[in-house]
Amino acid sequence: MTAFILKRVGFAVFTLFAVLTLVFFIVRVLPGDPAMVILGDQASMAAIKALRARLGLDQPLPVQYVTFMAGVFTGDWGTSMVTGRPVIAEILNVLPATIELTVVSLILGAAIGIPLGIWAAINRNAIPDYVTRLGSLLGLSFPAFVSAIILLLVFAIQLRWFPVISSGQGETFGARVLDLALPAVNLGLIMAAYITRVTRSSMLEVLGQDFVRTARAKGVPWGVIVWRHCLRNALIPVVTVVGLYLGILIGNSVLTEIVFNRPGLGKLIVGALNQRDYTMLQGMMVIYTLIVVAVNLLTDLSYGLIDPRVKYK
Amino acid sequence: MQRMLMTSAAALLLAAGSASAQEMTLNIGMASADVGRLDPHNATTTPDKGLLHYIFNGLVRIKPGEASPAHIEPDIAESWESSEDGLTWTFEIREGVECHGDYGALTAEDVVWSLERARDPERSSFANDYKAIDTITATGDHEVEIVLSEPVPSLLGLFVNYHGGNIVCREAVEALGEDFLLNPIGTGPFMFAEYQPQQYVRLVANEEYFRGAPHIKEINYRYIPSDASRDLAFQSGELHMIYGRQDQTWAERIAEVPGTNVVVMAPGEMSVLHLNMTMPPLDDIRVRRAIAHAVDREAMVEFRGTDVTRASISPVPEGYLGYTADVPRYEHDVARAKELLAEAGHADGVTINTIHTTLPGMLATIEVIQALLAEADINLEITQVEHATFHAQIREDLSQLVHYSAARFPVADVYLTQFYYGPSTVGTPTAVTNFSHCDVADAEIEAARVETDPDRQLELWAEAQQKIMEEVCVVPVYENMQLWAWTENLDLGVEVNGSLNLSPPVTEQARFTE
Repeated sequence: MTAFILKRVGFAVFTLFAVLTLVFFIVRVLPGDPAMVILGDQASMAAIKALRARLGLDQPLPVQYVTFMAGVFTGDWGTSMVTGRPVIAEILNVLPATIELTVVSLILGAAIGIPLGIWAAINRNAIPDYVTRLGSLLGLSFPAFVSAIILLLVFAIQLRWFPVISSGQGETFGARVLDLALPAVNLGLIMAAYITRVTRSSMLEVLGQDFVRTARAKGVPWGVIVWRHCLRNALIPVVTVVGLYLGILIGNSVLTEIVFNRPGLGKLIVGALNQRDYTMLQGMMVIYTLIVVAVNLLTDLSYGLIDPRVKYK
Repeated sequence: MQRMLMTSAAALLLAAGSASAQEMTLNIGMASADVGRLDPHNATTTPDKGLLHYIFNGLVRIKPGEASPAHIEPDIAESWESSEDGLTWTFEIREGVECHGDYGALTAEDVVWSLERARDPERSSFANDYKAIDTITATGDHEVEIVLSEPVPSLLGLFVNYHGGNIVCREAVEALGEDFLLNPIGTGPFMFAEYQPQQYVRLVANEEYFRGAPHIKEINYRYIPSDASRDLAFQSGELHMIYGRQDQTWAERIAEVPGTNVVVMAPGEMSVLHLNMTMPPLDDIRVRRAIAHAVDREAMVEFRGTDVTRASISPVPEGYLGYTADVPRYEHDVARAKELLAEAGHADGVTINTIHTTLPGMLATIEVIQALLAEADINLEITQVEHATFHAQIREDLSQLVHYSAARFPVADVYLTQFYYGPSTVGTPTAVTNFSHCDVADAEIEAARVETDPDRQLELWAEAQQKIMEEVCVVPVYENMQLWAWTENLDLGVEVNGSLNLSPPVTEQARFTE
């Protein structure tokens, strides 16, 4: 087990290194110059050149690369080229908001998706199955920003139950829930759509296996068969999908954060991209890579909990 | 304070947006993901500038609600006079102007230090504007003398509370260091109180303000990048004032929210087509004239909306000091355009390329222009690139036609110098934004800059505009005005026709009425 984790962490460091190198060069290949964006369109060429020098952008690329890498591995991620504030502080400032949103959406998605998937599987080719499949298809094909606006129109404008501006800063628990509700439902529904479909197909496979027939034949109650025997066996593909789709969730959270005005990584990355804030973009990529690598590792480890037959070598 | 905010948010929710007479907090929605730089000498974006004029004063100001330098009035300076040759200016500084917080009274020394900072390229983005200043000295506790090396058109314009003219308090800037970027200290009606990343900047009333304490006690300047969410938050009553999309459909839709004022403000951003006079086939004046004849300005205004747009005919936007409408005009005439092309040896038409931003508003315009040009057999090939890329590539002289949209300080010299003056040509060391390589009016632009007789100066500017249109360095299309909406129960205390800083003037006079 320890050897397995160490090996995976080793891989993770390598992945991180590769991603950082890629990001470093990609942001610099993009046309558009941070100095120009910062100084605005009335700046003279001389002023732009001076600022480029101050930001270290006039150095040869290999020099910039070495400085950057040395910084990342010594914990110095630099300061934002636009605001001058430390990149790490800016990210840590909003990271909790994004994690809160993602985790709650994931839980919501699982809470809706798994029961629905089971319901559809045990009623295969009957009305519940059709309804669930249609619903999840809708969920998959609806862009996050459209469903977000529909939610706002109904619940914030017509019913006035929730605010349009979700500050994510409520002091009381109630206020936080109020702020989180609509964005989490928006993302949670998309997640639920994915989970429903995977749960359904995975359950169908398990339901057709011999041990299920044996259990039924010896008189085990149907509920116990479904929830205890089948679900546990069907869960590994579901967990894999949840881990893999975390990336999709993060992508959709960018749009969700913007429409609901929640602070978070999404707003940060869009702003950094528009302004060509190289240092900020690099820092964000480190964070995203770390998140994805960590989630993959956790997913792998959870297999052992779900299925004792899984051995880590 | 946080608690107060929370309760007011909750109250808003309960009251479902209905405004109460006790309302003291103004919530403004701005189109931006986050704050940029709140140091007035380094803030270049609309969202940042729009907030700063609530915090800072200049030596003088443009009367709130106006955008033209014709309305200049005293601000920190009570009075001023200039020598006969226009080279020495003396400003009397008002007494009792206090810096926000514990930074004490504003002195002539502060003013000198602030202006020195504004003209230092190391510390300011606007140093270029102050090139003609020779010395700035405090000649008394409340007197500042500014000596110029050459006369400047509309000198007072450099000292309004805009860009480098914003007066900062020396002690505060020095004490805060790098933190000043996000902790602006000025002398204006509102003081910086708090910044929540990606959410808002909160200002509170400056009870010591020299014009009197503001009626509004708090401003939340919220960053809401999504147009739809800003509109919805306005509709739900969470915002009192919002930045609008510059188009007619937005104005019409938001006006349907009960109790809403939709306001069209100057300055307009002028959309023009810069024609690169060094690249064939545009090096032939007949081709450039053909393009000018093919663009139907009336149709463009109709397309963008008659309430928010006006047709442009001169290379300088209407209303700028020195603007003239007396320029060669190119009426919409497709037959004439084709004839000119044929004369130039392009009877089968021409193809012109343009590198263009993906910003939706500008893109819609160029697509209509593309259709108009096609009627005259001019094939416009549009290469779409992301906005920052667009700005970089057009400055590398890569585009034959550059569609550009801009507002500048409303004096003809600024527009003429940045866009149509030889040394500003892109690709040169002194480049600014002369995309057409226009240099036909350099003599007039230079002469007007140092001309001390105002009438003669206006003549020179008019001649420059005439020459530029004669040569068709540029095809002016239309001006798009600034659009804002606010609730009817918000009384700004002034008539709003314009705002140099592009956001409505919220001063000590603004208040909520029942």
